[in-house]
Amino acid sequence: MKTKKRIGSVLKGLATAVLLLAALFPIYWMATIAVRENGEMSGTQMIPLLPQSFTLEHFKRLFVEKNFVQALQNSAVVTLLSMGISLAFGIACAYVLARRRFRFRGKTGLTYWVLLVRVLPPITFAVPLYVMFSRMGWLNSLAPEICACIFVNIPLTIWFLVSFFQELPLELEESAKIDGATEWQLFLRIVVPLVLPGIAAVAMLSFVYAWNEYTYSVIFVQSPGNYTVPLSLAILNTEDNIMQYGLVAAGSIISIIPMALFVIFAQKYLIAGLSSGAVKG
Amino acid sequence: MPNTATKLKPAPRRGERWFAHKMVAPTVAVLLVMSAFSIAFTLYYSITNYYYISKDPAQVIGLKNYINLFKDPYFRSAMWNTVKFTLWCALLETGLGVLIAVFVNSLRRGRNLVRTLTLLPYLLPPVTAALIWQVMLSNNYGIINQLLTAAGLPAFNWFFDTRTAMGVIIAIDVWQCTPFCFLLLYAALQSIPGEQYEAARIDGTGRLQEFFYITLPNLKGTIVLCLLLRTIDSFRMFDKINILTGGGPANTTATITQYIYTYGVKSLKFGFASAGAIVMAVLVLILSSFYIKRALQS
Repeated sequence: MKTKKRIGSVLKGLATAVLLLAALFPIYWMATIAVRENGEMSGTQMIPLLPQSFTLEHFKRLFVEKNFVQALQNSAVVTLLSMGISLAFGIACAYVLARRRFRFRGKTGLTYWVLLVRVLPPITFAVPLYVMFSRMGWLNSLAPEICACIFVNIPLTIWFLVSFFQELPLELEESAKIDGATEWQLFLRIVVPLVLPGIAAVAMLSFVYAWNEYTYSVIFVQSPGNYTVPLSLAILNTEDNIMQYGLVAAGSIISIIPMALFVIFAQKYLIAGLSSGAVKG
Repeated sequence: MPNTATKLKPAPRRGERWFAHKMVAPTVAVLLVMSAFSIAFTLYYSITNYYYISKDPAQVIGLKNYINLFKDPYFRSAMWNTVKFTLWCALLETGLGVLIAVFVNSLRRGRNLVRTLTLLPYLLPPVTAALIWQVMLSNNYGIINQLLTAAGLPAFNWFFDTRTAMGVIIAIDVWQCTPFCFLLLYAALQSIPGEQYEAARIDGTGRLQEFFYITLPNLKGTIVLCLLLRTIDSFRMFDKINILTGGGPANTTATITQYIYTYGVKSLKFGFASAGAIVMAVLVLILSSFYIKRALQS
């Protein structure tokens, strides 16, 4: 019985190793390529599993020659601005949708509509938006991409937060009202602080979606000065040339940093967000 | 959407309605411009010969774009590719998700750590995931071909070979998105009451029976949800394909979105692109009607 148990736990250990290897080896491999010298990659022999050299040359080239700072800055602007706006709009809308005492015509319709926008693919909306942004003279700015990210993240925020608002006890709001609080005070001072954990989770999700966004940006963004991180990574990659691999790898590693920080410092919210955000929509 | 309010409220006061209007106005404005406006125009463009760089104004040409679309063998193969891709991804990701969730749940130590590490691929930008695999699968210097050669197996030109391109892209999506299904299923496993297993153990049920008679029935709802979400998401697949193959070789990996992008958006034939977008939207609505119904019930 004991040996059987031991064999079982050895097998489990092996299976865990295989699982982690499958999930993490590609990321590890990219990280090593980002710091290997090109010479290590170009020979005819196998590339060694452990890097034999260490260089920051690729990162340096990425920033100096490829203007990656610009892409990072663009991505940061797009992500943070769209996140702030979609949160502000989405929180307000979710609160009203979650409370029965707010009644107005079209409330149910609005709920359906939010869900519909969440389900339809970007290509359904992209062409007229392109024409609109072009007529407005916005195509040479970050505005179209910011609008696109707001548009993607508002339904996510609403769908996610409605259930958070619904779970709050109504008595709090009722007693605050009796004490003479206005709707606005009630919302800002009492309700919002209570759903802060939900807001933290959905903020992180919005960040990740905006940071990773590709379809709208490939259609809307035209000048290299407005490239976001995913776009400039995709452009780096246009030739199958080992000289580029170090650059691509370095850029890829940088593109992961925000998510790595979330995992390290805010794992709880991130995981709660990912699991319930999906269930709700 | 159900509400938690239990007692019937009196008719809303004016102030409440005014407040509610102000609160939803920004969202409604964004949705009006970005979705209502754009769907209306997509519908209209789809019956015109709108060519973005043409000097002449667009003319209404009826259903010609739609007819051309369905006549085009490339579009038909794009539809078929999309279906194939979606089915494989949804099934593999959900199936593997179940297995990994049950396995991780059975570990005695380090479950949280394993869960977090396994989740990482899902958080990467899809572009980054695509690039990582492009480097690993590259023809000359990719580690996978080097390993195959070292083992005496044939190496492939993965992304340019009609036999492997689709499979490789499915595999990359499975690598990136299985963790998502795993996460949902793992959370669902935590809520299965332990008594069910205890009772089964007293009755002397084996592990396999336990899996089929307790675990799977309890996971049923989440499994359906994973299948639906992955179907909706893979159906619109574009980023990885556009980066890795651009739809090639010989259109074997072009999905509907990739097709519309290549032959409509990029070539600025906006009328034609819009017809494709409408077809895509209708297909997505049919596929997701089930999900929408379900989401509105909860």
